[in-house]
Amino acid sequence: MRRKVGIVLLLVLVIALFVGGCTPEPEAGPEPGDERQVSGTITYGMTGDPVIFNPILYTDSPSSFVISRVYSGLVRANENLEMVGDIAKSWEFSEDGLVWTFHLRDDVRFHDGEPLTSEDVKYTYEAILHPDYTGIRATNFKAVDHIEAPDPYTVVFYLKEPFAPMLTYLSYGILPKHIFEQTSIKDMKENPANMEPIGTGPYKFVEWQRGQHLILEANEDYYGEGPYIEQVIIKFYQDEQVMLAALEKGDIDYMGSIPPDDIDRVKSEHSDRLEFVEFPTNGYTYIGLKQTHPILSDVNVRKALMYGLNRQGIVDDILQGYGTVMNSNIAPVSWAYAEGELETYGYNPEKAKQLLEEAGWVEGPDGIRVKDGQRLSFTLLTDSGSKMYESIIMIAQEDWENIGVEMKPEFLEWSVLCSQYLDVAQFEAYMLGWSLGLDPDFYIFFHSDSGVDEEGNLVGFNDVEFSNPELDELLERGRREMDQEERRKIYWEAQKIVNDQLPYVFLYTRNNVAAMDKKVKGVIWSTLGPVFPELWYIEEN
Amino acid sequence: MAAVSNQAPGQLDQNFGGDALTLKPESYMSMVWRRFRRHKLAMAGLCFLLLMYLVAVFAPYIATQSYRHTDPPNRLQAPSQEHWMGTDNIGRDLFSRVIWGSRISLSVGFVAAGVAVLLGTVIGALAGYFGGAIDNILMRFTEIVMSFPTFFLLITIVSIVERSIFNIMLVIGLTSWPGLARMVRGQFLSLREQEFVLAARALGASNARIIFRHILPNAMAPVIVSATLRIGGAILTESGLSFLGLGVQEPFPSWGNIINTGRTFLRQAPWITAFPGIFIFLTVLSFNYVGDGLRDALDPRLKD
Amino acid sequence: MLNYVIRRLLQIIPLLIGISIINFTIMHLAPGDPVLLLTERNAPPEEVARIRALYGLDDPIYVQYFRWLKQILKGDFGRSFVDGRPVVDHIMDRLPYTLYLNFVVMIIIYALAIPIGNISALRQYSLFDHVVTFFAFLGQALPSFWFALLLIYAVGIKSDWLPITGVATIGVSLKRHGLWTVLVDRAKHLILPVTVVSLGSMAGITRYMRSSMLEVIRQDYIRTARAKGLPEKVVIRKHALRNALLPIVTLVGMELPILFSGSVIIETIFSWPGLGLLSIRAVFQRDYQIVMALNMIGALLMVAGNFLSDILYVLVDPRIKYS
Repeated sequence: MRRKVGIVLLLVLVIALFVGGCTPEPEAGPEPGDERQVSGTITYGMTGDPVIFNPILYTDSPSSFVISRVYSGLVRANENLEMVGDIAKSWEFSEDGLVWTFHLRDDVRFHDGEPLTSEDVKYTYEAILHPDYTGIRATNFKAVDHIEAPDPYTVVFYLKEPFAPMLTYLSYGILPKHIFEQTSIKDMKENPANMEPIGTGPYKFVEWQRGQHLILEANEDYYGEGPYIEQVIIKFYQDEQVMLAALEKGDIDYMGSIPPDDIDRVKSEHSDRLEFVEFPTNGYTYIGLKQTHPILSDVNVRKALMYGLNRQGIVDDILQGYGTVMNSNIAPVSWAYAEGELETYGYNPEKAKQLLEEAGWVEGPDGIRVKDGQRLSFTLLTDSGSKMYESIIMIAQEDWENIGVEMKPEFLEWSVLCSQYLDVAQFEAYMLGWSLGLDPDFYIFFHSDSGVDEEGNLVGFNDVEFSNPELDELLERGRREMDQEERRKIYWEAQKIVNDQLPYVFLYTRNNVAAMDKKVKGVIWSTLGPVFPELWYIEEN
Repeated sequence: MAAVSNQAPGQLDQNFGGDALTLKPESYMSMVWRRFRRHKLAMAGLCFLLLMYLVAVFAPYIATQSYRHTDPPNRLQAPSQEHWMGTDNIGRDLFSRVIWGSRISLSVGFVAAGVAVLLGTVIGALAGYFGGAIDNILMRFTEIVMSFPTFFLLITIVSIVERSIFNIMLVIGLTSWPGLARMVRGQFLSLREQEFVLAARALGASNARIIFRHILPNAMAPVIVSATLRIGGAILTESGLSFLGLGVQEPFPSWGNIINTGRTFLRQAPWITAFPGIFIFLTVLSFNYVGDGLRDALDPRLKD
Repeated sequence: MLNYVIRRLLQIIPLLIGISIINFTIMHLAPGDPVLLLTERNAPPEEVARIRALYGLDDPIYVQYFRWLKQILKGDFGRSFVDGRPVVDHIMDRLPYTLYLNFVVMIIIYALAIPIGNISALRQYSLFDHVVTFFAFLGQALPSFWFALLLIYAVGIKSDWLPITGVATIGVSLKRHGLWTVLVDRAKHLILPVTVVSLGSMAGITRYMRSSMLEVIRQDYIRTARAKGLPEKVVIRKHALRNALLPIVTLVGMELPILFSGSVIIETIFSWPGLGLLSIRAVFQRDYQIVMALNMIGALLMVAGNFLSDILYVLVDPRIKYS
């Protein structure tokens, strides 16, 4: 289940960071909200059921959505994707980057009336560091040596080595210690507060009917500005098309991602009632190539696969233009994206053929290239649940056949794909997508230490077993460096290596088109979606 | 003898082996055919099926394109002069895919029904002929297989095996024989005490000879009818499996998995769903009518 | 009678053992290690071993079989590999929806198929009979999923007449909208799935009713009744119909497993949260505990249905002796 968890975790990190949270400290809301009434209801649609409302245990995005409104963390990201204070008023790092001190607000209360103190923060992060912790977030805090709470409103993290990406992970919702200490860390999953959460966020949990709906209401004692919308209803649907129909009918007020093939029609039919906003996603779709494979280990073959696939055509036709071709592993939305610095590998079958010729692959009797009696052929695995992936693979199969490469697709159910192939790093090639965290650090994807260990166990997400000493060194430096400008330079270099060496055939990053009912006012859109829901308000026409 | 006396001997030899006794089955066949022809819908079904099999055999010459040629800029095109059934979500020509798909759908029907008939007949014949302990064991086994909810069992097994066309055929066949076995057993039970069987046994014929030469031909009529209906059933089952994504895998087209794609694009491109469905419907309907016609023709007693 | 019942019951025991063995064997032929589904990602070997021992997956296969058998005899089908909830809870979540849909379907089928089959038989070879026979053929050849999609397109997409998925509109509740709105909403959601499921099964039952009636009216006692000078209506109602209904009544026993297993395809298309949807999800996720339980319960009900059917037949038909 590794990959699912990995993807979803990264995804929910993004959501938690952007949609979640509380009043921004440095930049206040758009207008002073003192006179504004708390009124109205906003209804969201969602596919899938939440599993657990615990900010350090959940792995699914419906849970994340609820948690982001019920809980608040030390920091969170603003509309420019910068980390700003939430429960923390301010923070400072020591010179060597080993001591991180956070100063907390003194007016934060849990929904049961108990005040939030540094003990709650300490409890939350110590739970993650505890050996009995059953969640999946421990690796993000491997650098932490210990945590101290010198007074009720100060928390200090002591690190073993500098670890810049950690700031983005300090956005996890803070658990109420007085409720969770009733269960041991090992049995944290059993705590009833996971089902009826008590947090410090702008909304309080009211009720949840599995498979039906979930209701939240405004927290009047919220420490920041807002919330102005009295009630939040989340409705759960079986699939995207049904949810879209509900949006068109007016049953829900917001849908975060309209399927590309429906966008034009929905826009033309519902523009009077709905506002449509397009924004990029922080993730990408790719075909992973086993770097130790006898054929795919040749970088010229990998380059030929890039040149030989009409990726722009896929974006234009299959995504209907709602996306961008990817050439390396950092999405254009990130501050570390090396814009204009990367080889673009435009569609060029002639160049692809030439590269293959140079690598010694000559056309065989059936059109498939041959070298030393070996056919230029490999098997590509993917999740059978995605029509989009299926379409792209069919196109790739034909495009690559035209340059003399045989690709044999195999569609597997998710659990089989993970447990029998990806989790054990046994494959020739596979197609999937990543959703990324805010920090550009990609150690777990391509550092040689994140691959397969001596016993054959997969350690990180480097299942293609990419190994490049130069990149390893850059990724290590990127984690230690605390200065953002310096880090940008490091990740530019790192991206260029990935762009040149191609552990993956990079495909595209999608653009989402979201629809929001126009009765919802004051919505703040970051580059990754709407943020600060506590500042929005309803104006019924 | 008079009936054949004015024919040339050579011709006689060729057609009837010169033995007057074998004339009987020939006239039986022509009688069956005469009765079958009276059933107009069965005749129509037979014609449609012959046409479909021709289409399947000559698919490469009839299809206007390869079944896997993609053309993304022309995706989701409505039926037109160029694409008679329109195009799918990656611009593949649906007419070509439906034509190629007939190969998979029709052969799955035949092979799956073949497996079921073979298994059902052998098990039913052995149980009915020998009776006693053999009958007991075989029929308990049949009952066990029969007890499983067929479609649950089917998707369970399909999820375990590799999803090749061959495996799909086999699995459908393996889950649909019990009804036939019971029927054949019933036939054998009533036939084995008949005088011609007793006579054969008295003459020292082996069990195998009695089963295959004497009883089986007399029990064949309902088997043939049932097999015909079963082909239609197997085609429906395969298309259902493929529709759920548990059947034949892309890029190979079967009528069921084309509809699976059609479901996703029902709003934008209903033709993807419509055309293959018409072919499944007409093919299954034809098999059912041919089966009905055969029942009337082979054994009038079976009617109603 | 009692002897007959006991004998039938005794026959069932080896049947059930056979069913459980086949079920267990199929599941253990499945490739892939269920332990990999149970453990966290990148679990160290000792953790894998611990989980294996915890679930008893390292015992010899026959030991595992007997343990499983002992469990299910107590009504315990284990826990889902995917989310750790008891399988019985998963099934009980879904069962009401499947029963609800199929109950409505059964009522509709019998309410329509019996009179139609009846009239068809009484007016054999009339236009009505031909039309009924024709439609029965169409119904049997119609791929249900295709028909469902056509309906969805016509009344759910092209026009907005009916809801196309689910059991009820999300958020419509008794508390807020009142009984009438809830009933109307539920009924609207039933129309499409009920139409599709009924059409498929009606064909068979109509033809069954027709031939049963045809057989009865050829019987001597009907001729006798007519000869006595009884009015035709009385002959049909009092004598023929009653006897023709006997085999149909016994069909109810056979319907039991169908009520339970529902339709995988129809539930998938209409997002009907019943056992069919559960089974296909379990199959896709390789949640073998659930798959095994569904196969087992389905088979048990089939056996029970057959048994019930036999007993009913003996009870309602005086011609059959049960020695």
